[in-house]
Amino acid sequence: MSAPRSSIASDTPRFAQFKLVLLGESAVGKSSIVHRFVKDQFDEFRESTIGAAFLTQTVLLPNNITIKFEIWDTAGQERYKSLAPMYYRNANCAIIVYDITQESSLEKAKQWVKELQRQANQDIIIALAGNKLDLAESDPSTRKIKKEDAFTYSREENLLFFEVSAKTGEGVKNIFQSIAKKLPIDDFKPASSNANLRNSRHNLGVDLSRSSINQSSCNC
Amino acid sequence: MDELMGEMDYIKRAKKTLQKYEDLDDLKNSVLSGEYNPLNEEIFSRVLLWKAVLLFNSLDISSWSKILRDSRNGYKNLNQQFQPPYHKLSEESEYYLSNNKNNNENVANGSNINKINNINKPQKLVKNEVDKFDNPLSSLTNTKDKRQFLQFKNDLITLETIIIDVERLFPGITIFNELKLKKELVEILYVWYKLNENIGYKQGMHEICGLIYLVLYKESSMFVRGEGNGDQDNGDQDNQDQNQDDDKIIREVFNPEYLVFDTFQIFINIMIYPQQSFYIEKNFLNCCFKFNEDLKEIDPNLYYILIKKLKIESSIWLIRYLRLILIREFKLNYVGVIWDNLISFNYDITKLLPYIIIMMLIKVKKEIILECEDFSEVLSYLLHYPIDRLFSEDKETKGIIKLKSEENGYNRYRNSNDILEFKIDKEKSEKMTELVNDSILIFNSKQEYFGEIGIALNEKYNHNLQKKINLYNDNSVFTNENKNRNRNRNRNRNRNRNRNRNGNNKSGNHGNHEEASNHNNHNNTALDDISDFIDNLTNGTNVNNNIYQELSKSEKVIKSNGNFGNSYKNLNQKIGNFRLSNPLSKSEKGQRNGYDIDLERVRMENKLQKRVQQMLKKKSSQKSKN
Repeated sequence: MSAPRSSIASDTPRFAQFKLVLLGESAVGKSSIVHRFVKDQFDEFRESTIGAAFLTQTVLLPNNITIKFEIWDTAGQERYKSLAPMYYRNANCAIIVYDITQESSLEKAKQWVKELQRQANQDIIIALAGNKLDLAESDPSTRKIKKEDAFTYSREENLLFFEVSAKTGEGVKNIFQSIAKKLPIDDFKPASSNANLRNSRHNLGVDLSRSSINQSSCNC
Repeated sequence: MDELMGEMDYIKRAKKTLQKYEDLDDLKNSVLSGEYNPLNEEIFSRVLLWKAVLLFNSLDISSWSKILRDSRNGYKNLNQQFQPPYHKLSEESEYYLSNNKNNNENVANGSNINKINNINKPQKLVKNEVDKFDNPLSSLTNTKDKRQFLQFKNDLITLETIIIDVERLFPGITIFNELKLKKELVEILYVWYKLNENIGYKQGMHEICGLIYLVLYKESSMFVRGEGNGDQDNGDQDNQDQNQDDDKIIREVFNPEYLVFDTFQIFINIMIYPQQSFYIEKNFLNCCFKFNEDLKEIDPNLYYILIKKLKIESSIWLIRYLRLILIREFKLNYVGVIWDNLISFNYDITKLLPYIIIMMLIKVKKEIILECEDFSEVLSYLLHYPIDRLFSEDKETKGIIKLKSEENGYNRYRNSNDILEFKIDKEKSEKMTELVNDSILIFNSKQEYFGEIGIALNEKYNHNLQKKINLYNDNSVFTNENKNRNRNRNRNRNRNRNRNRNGNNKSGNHGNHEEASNHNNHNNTALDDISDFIDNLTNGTNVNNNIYQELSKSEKVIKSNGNFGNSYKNLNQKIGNFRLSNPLSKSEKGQRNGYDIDLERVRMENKLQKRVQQMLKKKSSQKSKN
């Protein structure tokens, strides 16, 4: 039942679950990025997301650490004032997506960054991702947002920064891997019982109020 | 040739429909009873049904010509009055029109060649016209100018939003790739927005509009394009043969020339309730609140699992179910069937829809409870509703049914030809009708009978499930570990029950010991669960005398067995609070139907007592160790 244990403490299998939310203007490719990451697929045409889509994906890190992402892929046309916070509430990390061929999309991304910095978890990890790199690579004239500009902005705001292509897959995995590496390792629980798997959500994301009980029930 | 055959076929169907049904209510009833459906190929015409209900509101063919004429002229005028500001778009947009070009000409020529060239390129929509004016408000002193600027900005942003959505409408169904059609749909939505600026255009409306177009297109495309004789008067030709006259009117009903015009009118009429209830955020959240309340009454078990235990906020998944009127939850051919039923329902469909969704939940309750392990699995399940389960009988679940997101979610439009056929299966169509009828049953009943109806519906659809696990004795059914636990507990419970039956209820040491060791590590969870459960009770509306008594009984049991530390204290406090906030009310007793209360009481009793027993056993096993 239990996972094999290593004598070296740092190699003890550990598991954690994190809530990740994707935000950004409509049609910048949020769902496409998620689908590239989760299913390694790409569809040229994708219907618009209504409300939010929800997917999960597991990432393996060195030292036997397993991270499960609960991914909330929101609708770009998030004008819902009281609905949007519901999606990023308790999120541990966020990917804010813009389209490097759409000038206005970075502005919208910056608004999201501001909103998250104000409203979301204090220690939320935010990554900024410029999508549709394939277009700019095949025809440089389509690029409307300079990499340096977005990069400078990211540095100022202390964000992770990437340029990616959901179509070719370039850079997509890297976003999630990099986020995973930055997530607070201290919170990880040894993956020695299913109970941790079950409780991790309570411990780390959605319901913090129950964490004390869950911790004490650990029987390893 | 095919076109002509199709045309004659649908004229025949229309005529038969008109002959067979006395009036509109008669037709609607036959839809709801499952008689008038696409399998009835001799007579069924969805266009006729939808237009009779949503356009003519009558089966009296003599009134139709005038209504068609008025409605079509009406849209023509509105469309002219509210032309989208195409000239403000980016010049790179294929929707861009410079101001001095004749709009109509451009729409007509809206070249497909252009589209093909553009097919892999992103839509360049934003000219930054708005951005150029960044902060112009400060420079505009005149309030009228300000208002005009804001209006202009809003119009442009809305147009851009509509275009982005229409561009991604039903990917895979080729007719929606034509720029001409896309523009026409954009204009319908734009006019709608101008007429309803207080609500505004919101994502999802485009798909409702698209579905209506698709439904009308499917049959109307069989007809030869008319000469646009909508302006002619068809009503006064007394000398003509009545039969020929009817043919002419029916041809006019199907006239593909006016597809878009009629789409607009039907869209307007379908949206009347949803635009208020679902597309205004505050009202939508109220719907979700009401949904929770109703679910609590109809299926307290599902309510407990989804909302109390897993804390899934209904609005998260309901938004798509409701705003799209189930378009994405079913395959399109069955969406057609469910919409036939919805439009045949004589009252506000936004009141019926939540019950349909509750029925959908009840039908997959087994999967939710037995196959989903946690919050994320249940939510994934809800967001990829396993449509095939809706049609399956209440059989024993065979193995694990994988989430079929591929089928229900993202690849639905791959096989577009099937969708255009709107083909359905007899058995599935009957299930669909049943689903709607069950929901209407709930709709028609008083709220105080919801509990009873819920039990009956569960008896009908989840008979085996109730046998399979005793749901109300264990809410922790979400991990394998817990399932094992549950199994053990059931085994022990049965053993204890037998023993009790033999009057030997005090000396179940062996069984108790075994169970205690199973639960050795879960005492906190058990406490936690009781405490959750009391929370649930406290928030519930079904408080009655029996539960109150049960609670105080349990309280005594806990008290007499000592202190379990802080958790116990908290629990005790909760019981106290519960008692305070729910003083004994004699009038409550017997107010509700006995069937309802009994079942509820049994659930609560079992649950509380089991939990208390667990704690006691845990304590006794600790003692024996010491």
